[in-house]
Amino acid sequence: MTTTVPPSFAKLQDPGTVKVNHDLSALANYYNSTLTKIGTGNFQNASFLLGTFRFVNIPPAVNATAQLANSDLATVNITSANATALFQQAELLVRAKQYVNATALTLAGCALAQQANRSLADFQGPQTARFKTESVPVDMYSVGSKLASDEVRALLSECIHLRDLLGLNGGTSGTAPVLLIGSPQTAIETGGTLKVVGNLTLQGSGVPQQDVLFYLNGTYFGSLTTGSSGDLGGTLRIPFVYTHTVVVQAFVAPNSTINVGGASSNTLVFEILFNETAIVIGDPPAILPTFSFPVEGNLTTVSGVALPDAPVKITFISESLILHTDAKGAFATRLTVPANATDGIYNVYASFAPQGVFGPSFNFTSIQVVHLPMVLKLDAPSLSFPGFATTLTGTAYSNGTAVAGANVTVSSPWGSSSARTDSSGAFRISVPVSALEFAFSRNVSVSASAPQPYVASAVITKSLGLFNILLVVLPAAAIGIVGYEADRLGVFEALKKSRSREEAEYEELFAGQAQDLTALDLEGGPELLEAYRRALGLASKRFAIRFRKSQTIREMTAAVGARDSGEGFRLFRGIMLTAEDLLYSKDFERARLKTALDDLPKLEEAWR
Amino acid sequence: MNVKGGDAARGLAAAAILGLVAFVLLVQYAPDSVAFSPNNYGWNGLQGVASTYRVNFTTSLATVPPGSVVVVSQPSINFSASDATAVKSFLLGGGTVLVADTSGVANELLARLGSGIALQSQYDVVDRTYNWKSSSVPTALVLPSAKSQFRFLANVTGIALNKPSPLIVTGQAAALAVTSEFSTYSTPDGRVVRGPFVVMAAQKFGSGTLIVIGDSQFLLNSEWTVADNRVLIGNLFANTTVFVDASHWGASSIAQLKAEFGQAYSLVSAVPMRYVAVLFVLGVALALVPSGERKTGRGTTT
Repeated sequence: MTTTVPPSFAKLQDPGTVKVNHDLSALANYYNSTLTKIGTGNFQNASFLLGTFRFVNIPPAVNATAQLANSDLATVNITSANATALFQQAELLVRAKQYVNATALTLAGCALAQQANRSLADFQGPQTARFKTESVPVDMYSVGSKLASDEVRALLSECIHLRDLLGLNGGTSGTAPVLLIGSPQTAIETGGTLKVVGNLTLQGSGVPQQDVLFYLNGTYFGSLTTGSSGDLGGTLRIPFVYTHTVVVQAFVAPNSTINVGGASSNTLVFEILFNETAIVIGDPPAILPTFSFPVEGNLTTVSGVALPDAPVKITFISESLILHTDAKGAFATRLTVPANATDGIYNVYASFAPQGVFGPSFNFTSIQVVHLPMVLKLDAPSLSFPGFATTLTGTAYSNGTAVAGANVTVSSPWGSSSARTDSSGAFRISVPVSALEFAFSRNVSVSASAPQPYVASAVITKSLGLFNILLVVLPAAAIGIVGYEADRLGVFEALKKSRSREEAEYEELFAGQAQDLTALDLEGGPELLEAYRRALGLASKRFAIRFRKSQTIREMTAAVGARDSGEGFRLFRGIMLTAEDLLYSKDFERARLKTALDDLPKLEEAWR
Repeated sequence: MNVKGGDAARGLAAAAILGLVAFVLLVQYAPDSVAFSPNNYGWNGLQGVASTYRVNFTTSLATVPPGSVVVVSQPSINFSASDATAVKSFLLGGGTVLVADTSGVANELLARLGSGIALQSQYDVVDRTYNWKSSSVPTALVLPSAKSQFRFLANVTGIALNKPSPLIVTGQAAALAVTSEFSTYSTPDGRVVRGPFVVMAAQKFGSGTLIVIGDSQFLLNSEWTVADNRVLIGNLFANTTVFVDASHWGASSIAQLKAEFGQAYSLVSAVPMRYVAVLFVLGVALALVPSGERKTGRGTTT
């Protein structure tokens, strides 16, 4: 059952009849929504609204102002979002005493907060004033504007708070102490010890009993406590580091109990020394392309001390990666043989790769890459016909298993076709054979490449037997056309008439004889007369004799006898004399009739 | 008299054949003003899309080749169970079905397919802020989360619509595009419902994809180049063959005739029918040439 919706296509609306309507209150509403999202920390949705502004229908007159306003809001949105994230991370780092990193994040966050403040001020100031002159009802976005202002102010407050916490306000605060550190060393062995000295003062007086935290490249590695006069000194062990140089800095946390703020020290730069090391790497087995294999080894000093968290560079073919040793100096990874790797031996290099002054340790092992051979079987029909497609079937196997999904391509003189093997490794490809192919065989080559790179490709060539039916049709058509045209031109008719003339001549020649024969009314007479005519015809054809009507049978026999004296003439003469006897003797010996008739085939055979 | 009568009959037959050929050519290529016609250059035609991509019209959903795209736009005849079976089989075979409708007739198909998408054809969504002329022609926004799931949404942000109907999306179906938060629609009792509303959704069926847009006019000449519509249509229609369903349009249309011709051509052009057709044409041609003419041509007139 069908139901027609009446009337058909009734809801269609021609957009050409729709009047363009720019709604400035809709634009103000858009800004209110965007600012509200920024003000409530919904930065992703604000970004979505800003990113789709080009689809908001606004009058061309306000477009320039809107572009500037949107640029401001986009800046406010992204800087506020990033500043919020940075401040949150800085708070976490302060709690973890990661003051160096916390300082960097705080400074970056503060810069973003200030940028947000400037952009929001630009929107709320000049751009809003322009909107007002362009009749945009700016009061409609006052609520969102206030929320955004609150959000930016909160970010600026957070900036000040973190700076205080990290002692970044320096001399601006009366409670900020001064921390100075130094060391008699210029270089440190990785994992070795560092002697440090220093002092903590507040307005020229030492600050006693304060914990001073030491950081190496931003990572905490030890602490010292100031003495009664604010001085500090001691030896700290640095972690295993594998860079050429390191930076050491100290921090002191704020202490509200004695009304002392936090402080960061000057920085010290040291060179890192590496002892002589040794690296050992295990031997992996033979492997197939795309397969992975384990690489493992150890990195120690020559005295057998393991180097923890040390960078080890592994290089294999043209790729390399950096590993880090574990706490026992061991490293391990799995490498994958590239899909395009050919069969052969490949080295895996492992080297200690610090950025130090001593040469790194180095070692290598090797793997053997092999491919599995693919066996391709192809079946083709024993005979194919040009103009039609022929189907090739076959299977692809590797290592006794069907190769599924292999890309099979047939290259033939008539083009290429491709297919994929199914789950049983079988494929079936239809190859169109050109109708203009007249050869009786052609070679086609079938190549297969497995989806698994570790299986080698295979190529097989097969000869296709061909038979073009045009080889029959065209000659037949040609013969037909020639015959038709010959018939139309009267060639056959002429031949027929020519033969008839010859027969008529002979009939005329023997007309009287036939009448005599008819008068005799002898049984077998017509057959003998026919044999007689045939014998004359054979003689005429063989010896090019033109018999005349005036010649007697004996003259004609003599004419033939002058040219042939063999078995043929004997038979010819027998037929001729029998005919003479039939035609002209009063009594005819009937037994001769049969002999003459029997001799005619022999004569035809003799004169053939 | 017999010779003259035979010539007259042959003349009539030749005229009829020429007339038929002219009719087919006119249907195929002559401009018209029928809605959704590929020869309609006006606002409600499909000429723009049909001339840019490989667009065919079909009167049988069961014969659409797998892997292509089927478009169901503004149907006016309900879908049968066999229609739904054919569409589902097509989807499971990796095809793409694009339903663009505001009439609500496509709901029958969506329900029979077991999809989680339904059209609320009784409502027209308007948007004073996001639109391309006026509130009745809103611009919908593609959800960023949908872009990662559906590759045909690449580089598509805004979709221009014309009096769209909101969609109900449940179950496995996913919303692709929504009208803005400033959009609304009015209920019959005068209540105003605020957006955003889903106006484009999709659902996977096997390796195929069902896409529903609550706008019948999405592919029409007046709309297909507005906003990012052209990009979306290009992502869907490029490098494939599109079959527009003409079997669920109530009135007989040019598109339906084109679909019939297309199917007849497909049938005749296949092996071995093409050879039979060639022989038939040759036979008709020979039959139409008078025998006297043939003899005269060979110079043997008697």
